[in-house]
Amino acid sequence: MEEAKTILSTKNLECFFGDFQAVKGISIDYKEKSINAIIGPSGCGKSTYLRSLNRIHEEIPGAYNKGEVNLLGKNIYEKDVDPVLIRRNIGMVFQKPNPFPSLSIFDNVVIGLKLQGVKNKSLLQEKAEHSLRKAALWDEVKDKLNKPGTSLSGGQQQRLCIARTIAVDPPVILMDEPTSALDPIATASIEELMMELKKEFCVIIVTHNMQQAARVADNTAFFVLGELIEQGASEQIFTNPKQKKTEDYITGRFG
Amino acid sequence: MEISIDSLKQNIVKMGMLAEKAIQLAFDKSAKSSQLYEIEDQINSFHRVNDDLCLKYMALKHPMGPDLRFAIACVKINGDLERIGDQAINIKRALTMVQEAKFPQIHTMKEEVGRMVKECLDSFIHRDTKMATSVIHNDRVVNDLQRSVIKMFLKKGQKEEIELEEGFQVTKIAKCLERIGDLATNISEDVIFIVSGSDIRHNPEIKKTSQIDEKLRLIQQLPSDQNQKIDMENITKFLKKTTEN
Repeated sequence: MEEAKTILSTKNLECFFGDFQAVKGISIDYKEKSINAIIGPSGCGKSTYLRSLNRIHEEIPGAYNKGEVNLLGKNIYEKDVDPVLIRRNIGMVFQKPNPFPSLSIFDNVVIGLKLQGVKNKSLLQEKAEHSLRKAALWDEVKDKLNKPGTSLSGGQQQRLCIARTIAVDPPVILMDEPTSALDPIATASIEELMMELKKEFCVIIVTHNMQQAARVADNTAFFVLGELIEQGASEQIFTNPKQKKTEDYITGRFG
Repeated sequence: MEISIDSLKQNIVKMGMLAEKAIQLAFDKSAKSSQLYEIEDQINSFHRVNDDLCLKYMALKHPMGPDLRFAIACVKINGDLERIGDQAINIKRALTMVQEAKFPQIHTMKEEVGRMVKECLDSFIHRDTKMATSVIHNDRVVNDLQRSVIKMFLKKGQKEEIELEEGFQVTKIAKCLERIGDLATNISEDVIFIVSGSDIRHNPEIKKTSQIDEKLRLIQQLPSDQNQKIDMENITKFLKKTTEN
């Protein structure tokens, strides 16, 4: 079998808030068409690390990075790289669903394309339907596309945000605890959706829910105090971890 | 009952002690069958309780890593211990038709198998993979002893030195003991899985050691119809001494 291509990789990535170093020299490769989970106790730097993968971290005053994040071999932190372009290629879904409150369901999905300058109505309609179908939301919203995005339930709003993210076809999707604000049914539908997204995208998810990581992720990385303790196939991490700290964490004896 | 690893471990250990007791009662001529049936009833109760405890533990606690391995192994060990109880009953029934003194290999097998059961349980309690491995190695000794019982039966049968029925029952006892040896081996393999995460089942290479080869050679040198116990303790001491040297 052909080995999957590395689409994104971090090389000795360090993240700082002023003097405080939140992430310490993390190197991980992410393959195309895979789901990758990052787990660890609160304050371990996993969200900061994730936010550094599409240059959102640097938006915080005093925050900066060292090291490399390579998207298809190109370091996104090089001076000539436009962070806006990076965020178009590395989409992000946040913990709380955040549809634009003043926009309709339709406009929420195509906003990214419109900002890119796409004006062709039929293309926008085609993209909206395609993205909503991929986000498993089409059947539920096809008759009310002009209603506000915020009129949907929490789970539907999160799927709307996923549709908005995939509308611009980013090769990588980051998810920061995407189901922590959702009930188990909505969580299950998002997890099912992740498995579908994996067929096309590389998904990197930060989660506190270890069962979720075990259920959906191909690979899992475990962070403690900004350091990568262990990474590997999820089936290995959750059945036979190599490091004592990982073992203690997944069995609830630490963290 | 508290749904935890500790309760599960305690229950398995208690059940293991009952299984040991069942083997002992099976061979104790002075013990009534009813005593053994009572023990078997208790083992069967543990069988149900422990399976239920494992199920609840996995459903409610969502164990991972070593805890998950422990729970999975306990389901299997639980079944193995229950079957040891069944084999003890079969032995007790067969022994009523056998003069044990005429068959020294049965006594030796009983000693070997009894030790394997004790050591597999000790290895479970102490997470001792070295001891578990030694139990696994010893399985070949018990298998060999069973073969020697069958050979003896055929030899004595040809010479009409034993009744067919008695000979048949002796081979049945040997088969039951060999099965108990297999079950102790399974438990030891599960102990290794709990501790290291390695699945060593169905790997004949694991069972091969020069020490066991030597032990088998010494057993084979002994006359199979000799009306005395095979002094396994001395053989083991001798082997220990030679390996230390």
